[in-house]
Amino acid sequence: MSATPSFGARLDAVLRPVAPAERLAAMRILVGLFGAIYLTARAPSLASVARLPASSFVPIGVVKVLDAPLPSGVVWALAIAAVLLAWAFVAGVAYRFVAPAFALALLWVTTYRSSFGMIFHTENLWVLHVIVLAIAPAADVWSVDARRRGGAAPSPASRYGWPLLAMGLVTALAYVLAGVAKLRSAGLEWVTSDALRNYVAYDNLRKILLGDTHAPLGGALVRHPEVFKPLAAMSLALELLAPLALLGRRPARLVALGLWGFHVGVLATMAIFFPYPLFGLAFAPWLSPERLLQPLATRWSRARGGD
Amino acid sequence: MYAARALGLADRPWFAYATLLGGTLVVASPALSSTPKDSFPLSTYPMFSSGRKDPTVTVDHAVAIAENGEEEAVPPRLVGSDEVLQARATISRAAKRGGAEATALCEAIAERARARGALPDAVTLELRTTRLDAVAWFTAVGNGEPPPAPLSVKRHARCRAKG
Repeated sequence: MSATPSFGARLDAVLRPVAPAERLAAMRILVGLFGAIYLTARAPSLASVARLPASSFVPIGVVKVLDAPLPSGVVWALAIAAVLLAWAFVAGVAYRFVAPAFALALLWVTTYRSSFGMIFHTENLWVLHVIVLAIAPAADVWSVDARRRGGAAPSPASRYGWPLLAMGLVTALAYVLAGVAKLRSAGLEWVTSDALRNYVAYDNLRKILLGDTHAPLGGALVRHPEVFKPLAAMSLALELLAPLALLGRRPARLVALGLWGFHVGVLATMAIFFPYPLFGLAFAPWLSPERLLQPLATRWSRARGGD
Repeated sequence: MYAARALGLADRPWFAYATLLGGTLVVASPALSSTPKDSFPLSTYPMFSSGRKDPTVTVDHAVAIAENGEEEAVPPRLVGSDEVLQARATISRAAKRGGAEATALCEAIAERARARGALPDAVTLELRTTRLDAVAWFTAVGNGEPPPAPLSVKRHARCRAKG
């Protein structure tokens, strides 16, 4: 006689799904690698805020503890510390200490950069994902820690599943909030009026006036008002329906593809580069990112003697 | 040992539930407020949300003017940031405060330009607030016509580009 699982057991299986350790480790490596490369490449930009006048300093988030900007040397030191911690995070060295330290350093340097009158919305999701990874057992495999510990690879377990669900939930929520912001600000007029066309024209023209790269395609499309309402409807639908990705792999692939296309459109029409979603990392918790790294891990394992 | 302790917590259902529920509430909290406020990393994600009912754009910006009157946009790095919107925020703040602060920013830009050998043709720099019809601007330029004149221009500071 087979007993039907209770509601509590079924809910637990949804909230703490079983996942392989490699999936969570793949997220650590991919998100960490993105961070290490991004921070290395952007360290001068992260530290360049030290050149801005003190009157530009408008602390937000954790940086509200400060009354005035930090000395330039401290800004640079923190940016460099974040870069070094990012590489250690990727390698999975002393993860118990390194992961929270990296999350804190990243939170600080990104929030500090956003404390000079302009919030960088390209970095929110990445920072939130790192915070989740910092409290998760993401270095149980494919890490220096795992190699030192030795022994057999752990079996799939719920301890690897819920952090992935948390990351996926954060991604879905971010897009829903972006959709809600549009509805709150303009209601359905965001779709039915010329709001998007006006925005694309506004964004590109201000970039031209400010001496920045603009998107010629966006400027050219402004002459064709008929394309903007369907684009606005699609964008809003994709954002509000993002949670469908949590229902399974097939809807996840469709939603991820749609949102990725949305970001390609934003890049093409407004020259705004959202690297985290464009490289697929924002959507990776919905998918099977370990498949990307498994061939490398197998080759590495063979080269090291087949452990 | 790390695994025994850290995984012990990750294995506890209450820890997972609390993280999922708490995380959801925290991430959604900026939007749940009656007066939503954007911050970092918690955000209302207001990008592209402003319902722009009319196509006018008002921009605080810096302009380099050559001897023959030709104008060139001053790139953000000369304003003090590689990021365009951060540079704009710096100009806006100086423009709003006006007077000495606007002039100080103008001179700081001129000094950076000289130090880097940028804007070699410029003789004068200006901080301005310009208002334009963005749709009319792109429509005219796309049709091969000269861009329409600004709806308004306000000068906040003017300084020499050459030392």
